[in-house]
Amino acid sequence: MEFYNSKTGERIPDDLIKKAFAGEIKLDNVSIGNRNMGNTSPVQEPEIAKVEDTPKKVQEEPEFEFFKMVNDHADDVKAREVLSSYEAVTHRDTNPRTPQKPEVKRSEAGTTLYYKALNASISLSKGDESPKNLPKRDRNRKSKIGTTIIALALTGIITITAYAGIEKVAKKVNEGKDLSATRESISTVLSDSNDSTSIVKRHTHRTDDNQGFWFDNFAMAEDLINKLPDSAFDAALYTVYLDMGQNVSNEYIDNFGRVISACGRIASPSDNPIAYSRTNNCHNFEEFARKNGFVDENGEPSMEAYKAFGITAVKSYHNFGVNVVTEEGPELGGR
Amino acid sequence: MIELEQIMLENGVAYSIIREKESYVYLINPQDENDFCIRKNVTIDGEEYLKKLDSKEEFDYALSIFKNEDE
Repeated sequence: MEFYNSKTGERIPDDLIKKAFAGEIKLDNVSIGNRNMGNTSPVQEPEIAKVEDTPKKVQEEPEFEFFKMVNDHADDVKAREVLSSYEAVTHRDTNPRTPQKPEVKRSEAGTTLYYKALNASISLSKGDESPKNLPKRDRNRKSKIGTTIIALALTGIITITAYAGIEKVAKKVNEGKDLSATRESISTVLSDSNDSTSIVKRHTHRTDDNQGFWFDNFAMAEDLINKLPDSAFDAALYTVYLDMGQNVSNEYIDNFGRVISACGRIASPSDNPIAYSRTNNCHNFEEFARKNGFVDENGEPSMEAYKAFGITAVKSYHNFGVNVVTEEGPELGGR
Repeated sequence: MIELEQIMLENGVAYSIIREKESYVYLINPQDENDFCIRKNVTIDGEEYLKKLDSKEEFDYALSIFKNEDE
């Protein structure tokens, strides 16, 4: 949020704004977000459309108290919600010739917008998903959009995310507390004899001296690509990670990366679009993580980010109603 | 004004793609900032298509990763 002198157009330093909020000084001819060069007209109203499907409330809000709230809670989603829902900003102009603007109108984001977006996003029936029924992308087809509407849309989406407690859900998923026995359901889909043998267990072998074990990574990849539906790939790959020991040591990450690399070599864009899009040209876990956005705040590959995605993928696949059987973990000997 | 990729969805409305994360595509209706949805990008025979999400859980997950770090 930036403030300007409405007469000169010069930006007012942040420290002066803060002092004004604190009541230490008084500022006149303040404009918000616009440079009004040489005139004292009120600040331009942002182009905020009305939300018609929720009741509207008109609320009195002194200007500086409102902006103080925004400044004090710059990262607070609630502040953003307020920003996005105000149709006009109250501007206290001391010029007696300037008419006072009407108070802001306020709408409430939340339930209505969340479910509206949800219904528009999910498939309600298992319809034909052949290309003829899907919208086709053309990355060269573009149109110009006003930045205001983009900002409003972004704010609205973030508001809905906070309202619905999505971040709390994601955090809970990250903690793994909601992980049910769905990894077993993936195994039963794979197993020909319904003996619940997992992909990893099936392709874990003892060394010749019986002192250690090794993974047949290529065989695991073949099972992932050729023996499971493509829609199960994300969930199945994550169960492989779990069954390999979900260890964050380099050794296990390297092994897991070799499975990913093998998947990338086997998957075809026509037969396995999901697996192909995930793993093509990935030679290790790090490349896989970067390709699919499993990164931390520094943009570095993150196992935690991948685990959050994997848990959700397994839970989502479980919703298809695959039977669950008792899990027996792989018997891994020492090295 | 910003130039964004546009695509016509099944309801006959042209949406603009404002963000992509992982395989998820976030779309808004330029005529209504409260009209947005999320789809998955899939590649079939070398062409890209947008597919609806499979479940509410997937929708919630896509929402959870929507934010950039500076938002």
